[in-house]
Amino acid sequence: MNLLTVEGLSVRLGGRRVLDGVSLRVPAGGLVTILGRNGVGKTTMLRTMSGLYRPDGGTIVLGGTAIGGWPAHRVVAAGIGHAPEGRQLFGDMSVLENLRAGALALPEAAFAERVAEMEKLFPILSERRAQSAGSLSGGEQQMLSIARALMPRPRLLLLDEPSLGLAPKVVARIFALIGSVRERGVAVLLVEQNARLGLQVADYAYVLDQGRVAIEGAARELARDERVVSAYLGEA
Amino acid sequence: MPRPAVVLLALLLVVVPALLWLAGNPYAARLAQLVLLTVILAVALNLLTGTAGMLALDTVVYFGFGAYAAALLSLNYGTSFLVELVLAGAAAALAGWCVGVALVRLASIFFAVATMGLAISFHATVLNWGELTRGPMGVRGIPGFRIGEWNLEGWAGTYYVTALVCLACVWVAHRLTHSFYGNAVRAAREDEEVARALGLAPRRLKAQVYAVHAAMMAVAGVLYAHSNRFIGPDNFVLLESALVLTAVVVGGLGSVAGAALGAAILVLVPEALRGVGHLRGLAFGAILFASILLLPRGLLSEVRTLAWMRRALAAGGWGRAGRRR
Amino acid sequence: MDAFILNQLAIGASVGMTYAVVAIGFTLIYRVLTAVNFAHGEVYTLGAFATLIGAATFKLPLWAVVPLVVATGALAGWGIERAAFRPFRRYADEASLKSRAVREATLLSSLALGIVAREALDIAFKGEWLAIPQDYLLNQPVRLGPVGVSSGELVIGGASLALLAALQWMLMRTRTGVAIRAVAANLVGAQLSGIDINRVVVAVFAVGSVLGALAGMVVSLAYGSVQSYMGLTVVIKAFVAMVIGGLTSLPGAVAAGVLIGVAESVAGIFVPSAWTEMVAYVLLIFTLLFMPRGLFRWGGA
Repeated sequence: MNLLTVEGLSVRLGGRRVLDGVSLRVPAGGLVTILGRNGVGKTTMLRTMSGLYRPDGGTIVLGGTAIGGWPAHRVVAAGIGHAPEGRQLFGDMSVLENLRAGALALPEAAFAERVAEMEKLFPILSERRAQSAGSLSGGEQQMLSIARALMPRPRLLLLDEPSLGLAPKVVARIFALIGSVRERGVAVLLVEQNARLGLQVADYAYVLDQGRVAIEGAARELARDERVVSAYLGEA
Repeated sequence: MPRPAVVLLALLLVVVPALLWLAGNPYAARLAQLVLLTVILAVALNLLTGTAGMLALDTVVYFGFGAYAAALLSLNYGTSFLVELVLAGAAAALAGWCVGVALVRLASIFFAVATMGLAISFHATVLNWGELTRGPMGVRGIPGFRIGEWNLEGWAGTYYVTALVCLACVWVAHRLTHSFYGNAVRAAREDEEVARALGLAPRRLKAQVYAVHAAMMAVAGVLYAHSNRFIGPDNFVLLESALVLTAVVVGGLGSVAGAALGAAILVLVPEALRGVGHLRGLAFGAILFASILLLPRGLLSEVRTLAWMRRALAAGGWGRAGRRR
Repeated sequence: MDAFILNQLAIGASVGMTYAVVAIGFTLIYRVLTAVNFAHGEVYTLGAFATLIGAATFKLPLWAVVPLVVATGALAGWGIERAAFRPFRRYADEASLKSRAVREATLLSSLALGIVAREALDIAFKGEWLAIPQDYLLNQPVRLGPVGVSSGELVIGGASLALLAALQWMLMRTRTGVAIRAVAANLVGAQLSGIDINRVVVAVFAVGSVLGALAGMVVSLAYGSVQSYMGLTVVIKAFVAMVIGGLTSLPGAVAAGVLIGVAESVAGIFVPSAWTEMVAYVLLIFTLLFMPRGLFRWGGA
């Protein structure tokens, strides 16, 4: 059963067609990755699903509900968490306040429970609780961004380039954490420029090119696909 | 088809005066002259706010400066209005250049508020500097237009003086707008960095436009003092700046013809609602609001008038391109 | 220091506190939308008129005038947001929400709305200075050591401090406050956190306008009269306070507001009082030209 079904999604930004009929599926509890070079529309894809951009055409269905064109706060309430590109944290607010802002709808008790859960998943955040988000390291910020997105118990987590600007060791830890997010039953849609990393963790992958799906398939097969290897895995 | 410039000249110098003469109504003549005065203000503000993209609320500063200069010079020294036009225009251009150089680096809304502060300071100054400006009582008994022994105080003289100055200002605005200079100013408006990369000096351009606009406003002020024969601080309150801004917004930011059209509308519409004179301010506010909301590009948008003007120039409509044919 | 100067300082600080409270409304809106609400001065005027109507027309006790003024302010804030700001918020991404075109359009629309409100009040009340009934006035002389002030000035100071404290509490301790700070800090992050931007913006306008209306109320009670144009100069001084305070800093705006009030009052010692109106503009031009980041922003963001 597919948790998320996107059919023929088209988006125009400033008169330019950025997405041109993209279709994809994320099964419940699955981990799907979208690969592609800079500027092929990966971030636009996620932002449209989250309601930051309005689609021109196509449908977005989450667990049976059509959410295409909904404003962002309703999409979040429907069960999509989004850890965006550039993290977009509230820099001058504390770590705890960032988590609070991520779950304003939760009553106090449920909020404390979620914070405890997040701090189990990301122990470093409990040490940094009172520190301002802007003072965290890049890896810690990425973790906070993911934690903030997970606060309202989403069914699907959108992850936009979590490896960007991080040291390889930190990237490895983040990707290990993505695995544990998945173990908790949250489906993940991962956008990644580092195709090797994406294909390692994902079950299924889509390669986006100029606003369309160029190649799709099981991640393991794509990792051996010559087109993907030559275009995205470079030296391999 | 006759050239637009010919049509405009014929309209303002022959048709309208003929109609006014036929109507024989001094009030209509006064109204026509007021429209032309407001056209000068709107065209000048349009250069600044429309073409150069600087939202300004200090219209009354230079307009008032010109008016007070004319009133006080003519009463104290008996100068001719021609001398005053030159003096006030030059002084306002100089002052405008200095103020412009200082203010053009402010980003949009800060520029607007700084000019708003100037307008309020100007009002406070004329109100309180009684020894010079005669304070809240205003200046009375300003002579009408005269050149030597030639009396132009009647409605026809007043109208023609205003019409000629107005045509001169519109011509200057037209030449500045529809030229390489206009393109450069528009580039500076859209993006200072890009303009700089193109080898332009965006801030110098903006300061120049500010100076030109100040000079035109002062010229209008001189005409206002001599035609109204009385000026007081209440003629130069912030609301009057907002009126001219409304005219420019309604007409279409960046379009000379639009500014003139907007000025005519904003003078004539409240007059059409005679007897409700106290609703004037309310009407301006409502028109500005409706225009911003429903007609953000104005009646004659910049893009459309520029396109029209380019076709007219290519077809030898008016200006230099026409003469070359 | 002699008592006269101390008196001037006390009066200046009290007037400055009202600038500060009005400036807070400005600053909150600027922080969230990077836009300026030019109708904010009319909210202050409306607060004063609500006080007048509550006191003179309905003869309400003073404690009952307060909710009336609060309701007026909240309603005015909501109305301004709905009419002059929301129509221009067509896209949800940061670039278009804070674009120059939107900022200038909302500047003009709020300016127009302010003119409409001001002129409507002017017509309705014939542009006259209207007196608040005597028994509501806060003009009993109070002696504080060598300084003699009126009870109104003390109330202005005290009420302003209380309002600022309440605002601070709201921003730090309530969910609405967290949402407001989140939207101010990062628009995209706030939306992806499930925060409804429109609701937060309305809340900001309502809170800022309640503060502005209450400032109008205490000033009218302290000085005894109201007039349709009374908000015009105050709003510009509040704007100056926001700029001098560094645009987005609430403590900066408060400090700058007090500074302007004191500067005006001190200037009043040396020049005729009519000229002190210009002190704020001199400070503004000076700040804009020489310290564009504001007086209270040393380095950093």
